[in-house]
Amino acid sequence: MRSSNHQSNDAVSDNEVVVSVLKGDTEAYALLITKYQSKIYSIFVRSIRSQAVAAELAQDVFLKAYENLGQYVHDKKFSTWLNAIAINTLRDYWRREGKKNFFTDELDIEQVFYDSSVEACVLGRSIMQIVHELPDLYREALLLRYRDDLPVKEVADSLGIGVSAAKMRLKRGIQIISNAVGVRNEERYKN
Amino acid sequence: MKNDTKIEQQLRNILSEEFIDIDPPENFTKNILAKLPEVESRTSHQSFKHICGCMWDKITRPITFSFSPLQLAVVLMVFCGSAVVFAPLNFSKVASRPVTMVKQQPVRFALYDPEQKFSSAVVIGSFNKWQSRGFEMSYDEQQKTWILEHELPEGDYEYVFLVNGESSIPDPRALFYVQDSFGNKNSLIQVGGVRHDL
Repeated sequence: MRSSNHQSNDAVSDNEVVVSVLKGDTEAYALLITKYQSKIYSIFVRSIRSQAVAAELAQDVFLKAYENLGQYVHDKKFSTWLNAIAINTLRDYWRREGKKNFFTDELDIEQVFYDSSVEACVLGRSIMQIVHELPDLYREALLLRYRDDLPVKEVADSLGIGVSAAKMRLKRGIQIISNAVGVRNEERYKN
Repeated sequence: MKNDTKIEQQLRNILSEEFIDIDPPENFTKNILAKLPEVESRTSHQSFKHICGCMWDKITRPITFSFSPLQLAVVLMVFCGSAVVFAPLNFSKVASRPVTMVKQQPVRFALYDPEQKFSSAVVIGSFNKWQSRGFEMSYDEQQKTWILEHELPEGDYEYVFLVNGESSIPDPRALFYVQDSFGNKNSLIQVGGVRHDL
């Protein structure tokens, strides 16, 4: 089932809910879970094939956030903090699976799109497919910036990386897609 | 956006139309809420009564001092020496010097160990120069958890738990992890906000 990206439930601010939870109103936490469950679950589903594993990891994000709610600083958005926990949990998952590179792979743009992927591009891959195939950190950076329309600073905080690293991910992500589209167009032109 | 390149505009359109978040399976929220009491029991701060009880035990517990005549002589010499050195100082000047207060935040480390497999647990990290003394955790029978409550200045700190005096393990419930230059996985605690490049 698909969910809208626009979250409702904004009548009470996240910070107010957090304060209630910290005061002992455990059930208020359900408001935050309901509000962000799709966003957090989707981060895992985009990366991990097993929906069961994705659900388990997403649940753990909410549990860890609850356990460590005292560490949340109210001058940041709760969603940014939660996103950073999810990204870190995903990174840790791939580390345990021994596939760290799958997550953060430092891409060699030239190699990626002028060697192995040319064939795939010729077969007519869409921008969507290219985005799907990007390493997680690149894909999530692009989604936060161009789908959720977050400023770069917030993209950085949501990924748990510095602003310059976030800029680099975005720049490379765009470059990869541009190159891929360029290659595809060139091939089409030749034919 | 005005300054977007063509490819950025395309991305905006495609991502917002095609990359829609997916709802989690049924009972997602319910499952989390069902686990909260368990988490609560592990993370709840010690009750006032419990803290008072511990303090009373510490205050009323008999303490035995033992020292040799040689140790006594050394202590006396140090005491006399310091009296000679510090006597001429103008303490009023020292007292009026501005003091920079470092903001301390309460932090709590917890290691769930339901079967008490570990004989000891210590928090070692960048805040105590990875030394095993002074940050010993105590086992709470009720919560079945090794616990240490402390105060730290604002900042990011890497840490692990040293168990049984020999093995180090990252905090299984940490929010963030980082790898050190030797490839070891350390937990990261952020006291007072996110500042770290993970």
